[in-house]
Amino acid sequence: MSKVEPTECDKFCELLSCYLDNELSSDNCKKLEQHMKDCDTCRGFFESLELTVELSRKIVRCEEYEMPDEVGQRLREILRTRCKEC
Amino acid sequence: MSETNANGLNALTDDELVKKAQENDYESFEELVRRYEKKIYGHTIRMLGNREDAEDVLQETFLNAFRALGSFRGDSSFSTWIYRIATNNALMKIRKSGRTYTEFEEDIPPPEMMRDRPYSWFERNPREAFLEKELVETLNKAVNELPEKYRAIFLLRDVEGFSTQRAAEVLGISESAAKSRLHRARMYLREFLEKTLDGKSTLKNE
Repeated sequence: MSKVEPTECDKFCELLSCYLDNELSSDNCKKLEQHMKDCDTCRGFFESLELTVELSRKIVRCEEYEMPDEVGQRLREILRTRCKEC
Repeated sequence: MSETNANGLNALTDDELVKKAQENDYESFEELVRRYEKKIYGHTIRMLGNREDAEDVLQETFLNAFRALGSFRGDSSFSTWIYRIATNNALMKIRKSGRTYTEFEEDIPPPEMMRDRPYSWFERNPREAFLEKELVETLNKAVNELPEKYRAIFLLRDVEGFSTQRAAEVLGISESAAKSRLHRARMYLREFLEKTLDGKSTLKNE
């Protein structure tokens, strides 16, 4: 297995989020994919970052954050009164 | 049936409602409130971490929007504009409350250090086992621990699903700054998960 200089891994690590979001140029994308084929550590790191994002998206969307109906009613009542004063 | 069906306002676009609201049609403004109140509440409660502050910021946001409606020129969409007001209000609330966060750029080990660590927690845990109570609590805690500017970009991009360009517009920063902050936020969450669930957390527990 090829041994990669730390600086190269550092550089690729900085690109991982953009890669995850399909925001990398095709040139950088190819370079990163080739690097991850050669470097188990960077590939493992990418997988753990991908999983973190996937989980965060699911969990932060949970129902705990849904607005209770009475909050919406209160908001509109307050606005009706306060906006008249503007 | 919602009451908005009766006046046909729900068939109008945001731009059309804004225009009518700018001509002093309060019903049109209220339709915009109905359209965005749930999203803005969700965003502010995730930013602030408690219902009381989230409701305050929700009310301030729409009141600010009503007052500033006359100067809204449509350079950005109404949606982007209302998220910008809400995010700024939430950031101001956090600053006024005196809550402080450690700036974590220096606290995240540089990649060459992380590179040498085994990713044991991620390897040991199959994806199916993830939706457990402990994990939900851990992730919510991790998001609450993010310094506010990182939390804001993470919530806009990964939770609300905004594009980088739109999230940058909401935050008033460049796209490259938005990408860099998002990467730091994700790296922090990854690190938090690994340390906490491996029982090796170095973060303070209250």
